[in-house]
Amino acid sequence: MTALIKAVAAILFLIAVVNAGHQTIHIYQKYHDLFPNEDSVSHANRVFEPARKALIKMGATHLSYRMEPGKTFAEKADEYYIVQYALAPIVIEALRGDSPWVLMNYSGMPQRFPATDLTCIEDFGWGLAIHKKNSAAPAAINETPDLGSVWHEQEGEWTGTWTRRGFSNIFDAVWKTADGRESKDEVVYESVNCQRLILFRKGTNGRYRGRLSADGSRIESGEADWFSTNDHWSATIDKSK
Amino acid sequence: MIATAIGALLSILLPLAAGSAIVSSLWPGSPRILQIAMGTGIGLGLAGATWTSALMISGSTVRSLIASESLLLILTTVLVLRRLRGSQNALIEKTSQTARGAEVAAVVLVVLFGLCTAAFLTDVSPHGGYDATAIWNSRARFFYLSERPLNVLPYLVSPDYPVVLPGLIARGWQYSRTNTVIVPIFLALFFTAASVLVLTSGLRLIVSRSTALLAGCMALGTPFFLDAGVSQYADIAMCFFITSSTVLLSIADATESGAMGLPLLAGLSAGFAAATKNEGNLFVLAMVLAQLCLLFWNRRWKADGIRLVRFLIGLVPGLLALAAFKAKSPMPNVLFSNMTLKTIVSAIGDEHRHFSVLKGFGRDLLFFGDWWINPLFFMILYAILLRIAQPGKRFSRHWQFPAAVLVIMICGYYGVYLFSPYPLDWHIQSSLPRLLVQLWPTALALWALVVTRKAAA
Repeated sequence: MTALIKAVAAILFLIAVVNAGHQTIHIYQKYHDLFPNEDSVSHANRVFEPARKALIKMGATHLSYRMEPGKTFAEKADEYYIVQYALAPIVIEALRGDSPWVLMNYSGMPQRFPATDLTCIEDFGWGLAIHKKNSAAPAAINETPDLGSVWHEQEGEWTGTWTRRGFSNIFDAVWKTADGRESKDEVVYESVNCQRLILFRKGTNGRYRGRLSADGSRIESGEADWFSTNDHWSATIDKSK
Repeated sequence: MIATAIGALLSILLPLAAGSAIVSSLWPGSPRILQIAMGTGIGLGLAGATWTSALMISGSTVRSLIASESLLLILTTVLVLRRLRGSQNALIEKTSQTARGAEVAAVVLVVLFGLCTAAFLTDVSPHGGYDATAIWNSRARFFYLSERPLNVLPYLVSPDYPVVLPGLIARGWQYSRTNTVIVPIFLALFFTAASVLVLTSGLRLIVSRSTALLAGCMALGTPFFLDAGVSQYADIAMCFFITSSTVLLSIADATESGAMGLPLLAGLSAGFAAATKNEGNLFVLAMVLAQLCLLFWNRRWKADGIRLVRFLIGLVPGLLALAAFKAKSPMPNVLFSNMTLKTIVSAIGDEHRHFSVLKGFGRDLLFFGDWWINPLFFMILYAILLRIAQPGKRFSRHWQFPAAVLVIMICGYYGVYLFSPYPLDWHIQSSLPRLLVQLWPTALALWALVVTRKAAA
């Protein structure tokens, strides 16, 4: 009997080791593809940082919240909590809220959904745009801005010079790296909507998106269809010529 | 990054110093590992409780930091000076059994696997799990980043939840000077490891070394325990305070020593549990009721009565912090705010509700650990075999106290679910496993005491 009791004790030790080991292997197998990647909360935390600063600057520290039509809060709760976490200390009231500032979360859609009672103030990209309930607030830039003559662009290690062809929407773009590599392509300005600017790059068959600064001289918080979540671009518009 | 990490580490120094001084002062001769693990946890509880109380009174995070650090510093200085003046004798003799090689190997393996799992999970979700992002770390951000932190209290998710853990995280960020993920990660890992250390080294004083090591291994070898810890939920801080409190009173009960500081420490820990999560109130009630049960059972009126009074005194810092929060943010508890006599009578008479709760309990009590191999059968088999094989030998009766605590807690949870305003299945599935994980080390302590012969105690 004593031997049996010792055997059961040994089995219990063994079970603890096996369970711990199995968990380690299971977690590794399940998540090892994600190890080098940024998780969704870290990503939101990083890309919404400019939005947080801009909102505080606007004095929009207490927001109502609007999610895509037809969805319930329960369906989109994950997104709400991540956005609230990333934008804290700005208060976002999900289910009630009488603030004139309305944060539109359209991250599940390709573009902002219509809201006739709201005026778009700024689209921050990544599915977030700040609106104001119809008021005399100055509306965001929705018309083609002065595209200047040359854009000095930066994306990662590449420094780009985008030269505008006359007064057209087309830019001849050249990128260089510090070690002498060079790349050329054609970039076409497409549109601006609620301060959000879109350009098409032919070689990659994808789009650049970025936030046009209030004075129309810079593009910030840029993203592109072929970028990973850690990549971004920015540009300064040279209007001197 | 390095400066941030150093800041996060510095934030734990004063709680470590003050907590260790409190433990060694109230429990002279306590094992060094308990002084450090339990002391740091109690020091953190005190820091969080003081920080949030000061915030509720002053509305300023800077004043909160000054208040918490001043209190910790004064406490450390006074207790260290007191200790230097008089020598104190150990009140509990340490046994000198040595562990066998195989047992040590098992412990090492479980710890290594645990470290790897924690590293993987932290890498995948450095900001923590769902509740950490939605509730605990989010609140800490409001406290740290807001110019007027008290103004946001009504708008927090689940505004009735206590704020000691978010306060503790915000305090760590004040040291780091940025809202780095290092602070909540560090706190989560600390409370996870400290729960196991307190269980193992506390049990080591009242059961055999093998049994204590086995209990520790089984805690760390429970996948959901580690999951809940690394997720940065408040449940792991709760688990630490519950484990500390029940282990301390079990030691006091088993040793019947003159270490009357043990109930005071247990009370401190239980009070911090109440200030960490709402179910901490139920835990305080369970601890008091369990002690009353033993008081009437053993009829040691004077000794057990003094022990109970000391426990109640120990509750004060945690309950004061909770009261300060409730006074400033008097939000009703969602679970109880809509309760009427009619809904209570209706729920009690609803047999389908009872069946659903029992079904949920049956499922989660057996499988909450997410084990690959469920150890519960072998744990029960071990206890039965031991008692059959040695019927003549008298077994310890000190399992009665943790058993009473667990039974009262489970009954309390049963009642909460029975009267829950939420969809019942969802409510049970989304919360019961985490509640059970909080109690798991206490259940392991109970098991260790059940299989312990009187001679070993």
